[in-house]
Amino acid sequence: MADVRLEAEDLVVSFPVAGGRTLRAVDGVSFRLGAGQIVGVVGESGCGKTTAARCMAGLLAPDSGVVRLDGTPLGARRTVSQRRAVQMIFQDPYSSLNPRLTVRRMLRELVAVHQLRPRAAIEERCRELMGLVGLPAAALDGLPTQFSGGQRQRIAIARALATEPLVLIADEPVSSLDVSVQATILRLFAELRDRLGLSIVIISHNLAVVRQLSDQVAVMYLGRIVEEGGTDELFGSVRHPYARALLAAAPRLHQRGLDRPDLRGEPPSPVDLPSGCRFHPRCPQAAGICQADPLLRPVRPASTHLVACHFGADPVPE
Amino acid sequence: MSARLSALLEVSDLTVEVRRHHRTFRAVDGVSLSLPAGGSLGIVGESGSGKSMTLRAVMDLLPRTARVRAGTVQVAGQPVAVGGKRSSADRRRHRLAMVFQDALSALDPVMTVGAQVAEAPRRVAGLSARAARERALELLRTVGIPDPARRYASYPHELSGGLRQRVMIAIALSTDPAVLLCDEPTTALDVTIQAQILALLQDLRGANGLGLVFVTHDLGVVGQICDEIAVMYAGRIVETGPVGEVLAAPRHPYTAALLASAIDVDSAGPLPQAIPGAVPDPLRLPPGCPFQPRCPLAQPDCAAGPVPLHNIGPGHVAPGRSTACLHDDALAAGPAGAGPAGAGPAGPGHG
Repeated sequence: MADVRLEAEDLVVSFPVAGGRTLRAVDGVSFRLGAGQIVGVVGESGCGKTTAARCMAGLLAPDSGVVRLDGTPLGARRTVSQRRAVQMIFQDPYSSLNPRLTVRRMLRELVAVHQLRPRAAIEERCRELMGLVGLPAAALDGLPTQFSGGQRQRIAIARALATEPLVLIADEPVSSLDVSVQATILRLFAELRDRLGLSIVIISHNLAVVRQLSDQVAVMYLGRIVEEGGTDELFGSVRHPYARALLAAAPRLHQRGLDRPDLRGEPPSPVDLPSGCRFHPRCPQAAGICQADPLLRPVRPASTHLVACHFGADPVPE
Repeated sequence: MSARLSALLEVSDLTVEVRRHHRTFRAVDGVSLSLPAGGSLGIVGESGSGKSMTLRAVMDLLPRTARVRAGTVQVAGQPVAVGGKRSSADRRRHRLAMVFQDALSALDPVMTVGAQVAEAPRRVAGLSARAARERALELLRTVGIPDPARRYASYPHELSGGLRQRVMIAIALSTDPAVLLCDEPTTALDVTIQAQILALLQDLRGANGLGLVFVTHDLGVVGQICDEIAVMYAGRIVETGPVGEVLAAPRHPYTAALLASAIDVDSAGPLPQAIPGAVPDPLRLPPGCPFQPRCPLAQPDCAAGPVPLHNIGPGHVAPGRSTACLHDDALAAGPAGAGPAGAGPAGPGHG
């Protein structure tokens, strides 16, 4: 792999809930993002993908575990330059932009506060940022309410880029947009990676989005990564029964009739986690061994395709 | 679509005007739809295409800024009042029910879900309290809610999104409808739950001959559960036909572009093509075909006047297909003139 840019080791995040109990939203997640790499994290509501992303972005301090940027551990309180280096993009471009600031003021403020350009060059930098995200310079005069969803998401991306970050963490960046616009925003991420050498984490519930864009994919279920690997390898041979169900459930353009995924019920409450493998109560393959917690391990020796299922690895020749 | 004798739901030439900032525009412009008994029709389009407004007009649930200008709706051959003139007796007789996108705001937050399901059997069908409760439990079971006796006493906020959507379907079924109008019923759900709800709707249709009208922005969902598709753009239907035919070989450039822009999980890349330009402002629609400024096939005649939906000759395609494109032959001819989409059943991976 290329140099590791952002790394998370054994992150644990829990939240107190009513009745004095705790909810383990993220439970031992490790994660590596190479320089210039795009990694996709996929899973359903409540799997901990957003919580893990917020930890990596420094918006949330983990209970334990460490996040490193270029090898340097990031403390609970990040320095200004560390905060500058990791920027986050949110799902909803309607609520994540200040409605009373013009795009110009939004961007100028960031460039000025971080002293990234001499005063006289700030305007030019704003225009440059608009160009990077594919908006005309005239958009600088607009207020967020004057733009469509796709344009607002471009503005949100420009704002993230204003601090000249090394890493972008995008949490469901296209799920509130129309289908025809989603593709252009995904293209923009790919372009920014190529032009600026950015490293990008894409969090999504949509396997298709992650597949199209990512070099590496991690699938999360109830606070843990259950499968990860190179995108082509993982999609070529999906090992974890949950990941397979997720793939089977995805709507398909070129298929008539409904694929009924072999999946029982709904995810259990993260407050009452099942013992052993967290997926076993819903798993079509569950057996006695699933009472034991499966480790995330290579599907075959030395492989980078990892799976946390007792039945997920290649059979070992006797 | 020509009127079929057996049409369960027939919408003809429906036009809805919406007032915004002291100006009016046509949110729905001359839409005609036909649904046979037990059929399922998917209406697709982007935000602002008029698909939800069409459904609301049929249900007579338009917002106060909107009014029906023209058009008729018939259920099983009986005319149905539209435009705010429907009495509650009409509503009971016509057997239309609707499932909304956001179950949390569609359900009553201070009433148990059981009481909400039992309400129509009690008040409309006139069942005794006990019989209505039995009926509600049966409906909760039908929609696949585990342990219905316990869930009966739950409030909406105590249920997961998937269960809430099932409750809303149970409420819709409690009036014994002939047609279920679904407005993006699975958009807010996780994919595995979405698949379960789609399977439920499919089963209900199979078991009761229920007709389904399914509004969604997701072409994949329509492809998987509908027989017929209607593609809307700027308030008009631009293409209709059997879903497999339309998705495999679109005959309107907008359908082709929408298909080409969709991100498909079976495709390993490259990233799909976006539709150039933007959806037109409904207050300033371009002359002629509304898609013409963004269309790769546009010719001068496209802007000359309105382009009506017309049948496509059976020589080229399966029967029952129509398009509102003057130059759809170019799509049939192959990728030469097809712009971003590529015609024909090429599937993913071109470009």
